[in-house]
Amino acid sequence: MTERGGLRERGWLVLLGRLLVGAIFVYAAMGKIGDPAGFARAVHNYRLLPLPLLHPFALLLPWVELLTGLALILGRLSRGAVVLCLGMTIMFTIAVGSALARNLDISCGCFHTDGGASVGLSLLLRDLALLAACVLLLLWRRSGGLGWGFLQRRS
Amino acid sequence: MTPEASGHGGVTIWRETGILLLVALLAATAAWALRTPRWPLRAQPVFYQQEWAAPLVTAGTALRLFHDGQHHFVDTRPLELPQAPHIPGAFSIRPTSFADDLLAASDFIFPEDAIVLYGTGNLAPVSSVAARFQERGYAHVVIMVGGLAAWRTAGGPVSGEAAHD
Repeated sequence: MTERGGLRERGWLVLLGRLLVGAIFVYAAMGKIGDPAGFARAVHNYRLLPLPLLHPFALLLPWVELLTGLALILGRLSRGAVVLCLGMTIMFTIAVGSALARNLDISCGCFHTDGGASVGLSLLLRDLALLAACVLLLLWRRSGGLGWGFLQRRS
Repeated sequence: MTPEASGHGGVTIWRETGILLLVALLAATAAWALRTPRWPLRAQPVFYQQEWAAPLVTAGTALRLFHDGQHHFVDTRPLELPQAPHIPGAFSIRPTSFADDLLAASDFIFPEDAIVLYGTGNLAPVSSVAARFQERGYAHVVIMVGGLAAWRTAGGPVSGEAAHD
């Protein structure tokens, strides 16, 4: 009984984490899908991506964020969505860390294409927290489940 | 869990990942195709090289210019308090009140003078001030990267620090 109760609690945590991470990615995507040029400038500021890849990247990434976030919220294709979230968060963390190391005075470009939060230690810590959440979701995908099924009564 | 099941789960994860990526690619392609005018897929280097209105310099270089004594320093931050920390001798010329601020400093800053601009953590407003200077004939304008924080890290002096009780 205790083990089942523990699994149920974990299921709620996984659900909460999934909804939170999904909402973050959906919100991040909405500010960038309508302004690929602005997002491309923000990406270019990091001086990491070669110019030939800049525009395709700026076009594609917001849609990956949107669909990944929606998949997490709806609980569909959620395992794949967690993998994508993890990959994107690792990429963001590396980019922010690289900008910090090079002392680049730039805007994050995380949620807005015109200004927004500056690259700094707090931003890096925020990305690391998001990374931790994605890792936990990936590790708990079997025990807690990533879908809504854990809410069903077990016979 | 049997090895077969765990292997099947692994295949499922990558299949789901591939489906999401494929749908995202299709959605991005459709959004790009429907946008008018169509945004170029190839980034033009000239457009991105001219991103900032003036050359960028590090705080270390700016400190050297400060000690040389041949440059005016301009604070572009939207500060409300005149006693806020700033680089000694810097003039406050802000994007939102550029004309008025420049007029107030016109007895000290001339178009032939060399100017170092600095701001907050965002280069965009500093670059806009640099562009406005250039429009008025100021040809020797550079932008210090990193703002006051980088200046402090480089060991530059700061006026107007809050007094400790």
